[in-house]
Amino acid sequence: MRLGSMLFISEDGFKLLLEELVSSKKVIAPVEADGFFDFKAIKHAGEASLDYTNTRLPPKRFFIPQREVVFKHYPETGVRQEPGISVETVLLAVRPCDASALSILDNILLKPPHPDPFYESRRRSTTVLSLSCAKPGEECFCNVFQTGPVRGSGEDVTLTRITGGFLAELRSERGRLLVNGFRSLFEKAVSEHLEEYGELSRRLTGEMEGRIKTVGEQLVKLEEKLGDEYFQQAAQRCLECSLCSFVCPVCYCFDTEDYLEKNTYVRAKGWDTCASPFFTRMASGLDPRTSRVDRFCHRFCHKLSRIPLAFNAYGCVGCGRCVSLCPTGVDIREVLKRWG
Amino acid sequence: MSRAEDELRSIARSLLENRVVELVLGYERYGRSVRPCFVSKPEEAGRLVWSPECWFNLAKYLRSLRGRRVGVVAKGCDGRSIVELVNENQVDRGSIIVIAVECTGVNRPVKYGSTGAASIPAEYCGRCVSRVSPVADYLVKADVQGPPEESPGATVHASDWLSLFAKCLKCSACVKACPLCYCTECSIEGFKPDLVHRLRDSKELFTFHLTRALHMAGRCVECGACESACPVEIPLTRLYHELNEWFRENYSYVPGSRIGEAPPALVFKEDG
Repeated sequence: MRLGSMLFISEDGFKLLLEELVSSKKVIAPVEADGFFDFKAIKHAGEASLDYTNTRLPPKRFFIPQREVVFKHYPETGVRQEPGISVETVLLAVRPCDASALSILDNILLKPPHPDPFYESRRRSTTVLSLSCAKPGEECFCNVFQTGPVRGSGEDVTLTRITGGFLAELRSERGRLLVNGFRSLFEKAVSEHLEEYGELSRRLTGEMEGRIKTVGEQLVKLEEKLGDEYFQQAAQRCLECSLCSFVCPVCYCFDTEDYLEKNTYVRAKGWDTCASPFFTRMASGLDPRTSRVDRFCHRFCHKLSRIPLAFNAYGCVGCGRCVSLCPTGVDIREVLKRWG
Repeated sequence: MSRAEDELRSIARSLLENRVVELVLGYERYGRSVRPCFVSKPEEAGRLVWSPECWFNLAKYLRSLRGRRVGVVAKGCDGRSIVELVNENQVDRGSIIVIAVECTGVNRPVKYGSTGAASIPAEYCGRCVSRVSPVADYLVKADVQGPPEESPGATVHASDWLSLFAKCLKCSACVKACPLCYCTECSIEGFKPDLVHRLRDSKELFTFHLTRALHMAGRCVECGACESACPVEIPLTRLYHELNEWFRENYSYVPGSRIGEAPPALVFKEDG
């Protein structure tokens, strides 16, 4: 089985695979709880629900926890705590957009000479099995960045539900190794499988292209448009909460905190948001981004212009979470439609 | 377009045309929902909509617009929060034109990743004390008659709050969507005093939420904006309702009922 191979696994075979994975590794899968879907570490194969549009929250927190201790310093011994070794993990049935977010984060956080050791250890021990969308959500726009709906980047194996089972495409060496371990469950895909896959891919992409078109290179010049009346108007609504950043699969900005816990000195890092008026405030009191509209524009500019310039990929995957969950309807699609 | 919507637009248009106000705060449609909009030109009054998706409390924006003459579309609860803001000296009643809309209850927003797709009436509307704003310069009658379904029960056991708070992302959407959360230095944002860390700490979520609950006690108008804004659907209004009940029993006080009546927790009287 080579990279890029298309394999077929039956419905029953998939159940067996899931049971095997759950018994040997940490498996994180979509689970239905309290009215919405979210990723959780599962103990039994039956806990995973695969009939979902997408999860309320992205799997980001399993790679970048909302808060983590960077190090501790004990006055007597001076011992500093290094990041622990992560356990072998399978991230199951993640949507292609969220998997693509991981590949963007890889570009940014694993880049030499200063890769993030915390992210690195978790990422290196995780195999990502994506599940293609069957029906794009109301606010989804992954076609804009080509991060879905069937196939994205950052997946080790791309699973697509077809009649009688799943089509599995081997996308990385890590994915090939995992599938190799369960070889008897997989068979070579036949032309009928591939035709169904092709049909699904065309139908979904067509459906999404009808809503919003793929963006072009001109977005990198977004910075020149920030004086536009649109931003002045839209920024008025923004409440400056952290919701959009916290539900974003890509937003990775953090802040650090130093404090004493009894007599141990602790440095922790945790999610922060550029929407917050405190984000750029420096110790001296100087703040280069003082107005709400500046902060509002920054978020779009960072995602659509600065990240692409520095890392060659957009900082947005079109999952639609911020669009749907923003209490005041701030909508990045409007920026894409105007200047994309 | 409904009759109520039509009436709303014509009021807004005439207010702007006659320069009674500089700006009308209302709702506009976007995608499958509605969102706040700021209308400053008479010809844009046609953007305004009225529907059960209008859960956001527009009184939130009034404090930042102090000094300007503003028209605001207000449900019953929004009107009560305007009264509360006036009583707490945060906004000037004289510069606000309240376009009261008779409300028949709002729907819970249908959010990303929900297991059910249908919109259902918000639970907190079942505990509504008045569907019409206590202050009104204009009144738009509802198209449909009949109050929202009652849902008074639904209390959460104290120990269940721990698991509900554990889901909290500390995104502050509840704080920022609340019309009565207006402190410039918020004690639960982790600055002066640093009651909790600025960055979310799972050990501190109880402190975070209880501090907020105590600040809302006897002031909360139960508009439910916090709950509807919450990305993980913590039923915060139930908590604030329980605290409000205590103030109602002990002080016969219902937040936002009358201008000139300060909330009991903000009044100091030596004779008790």
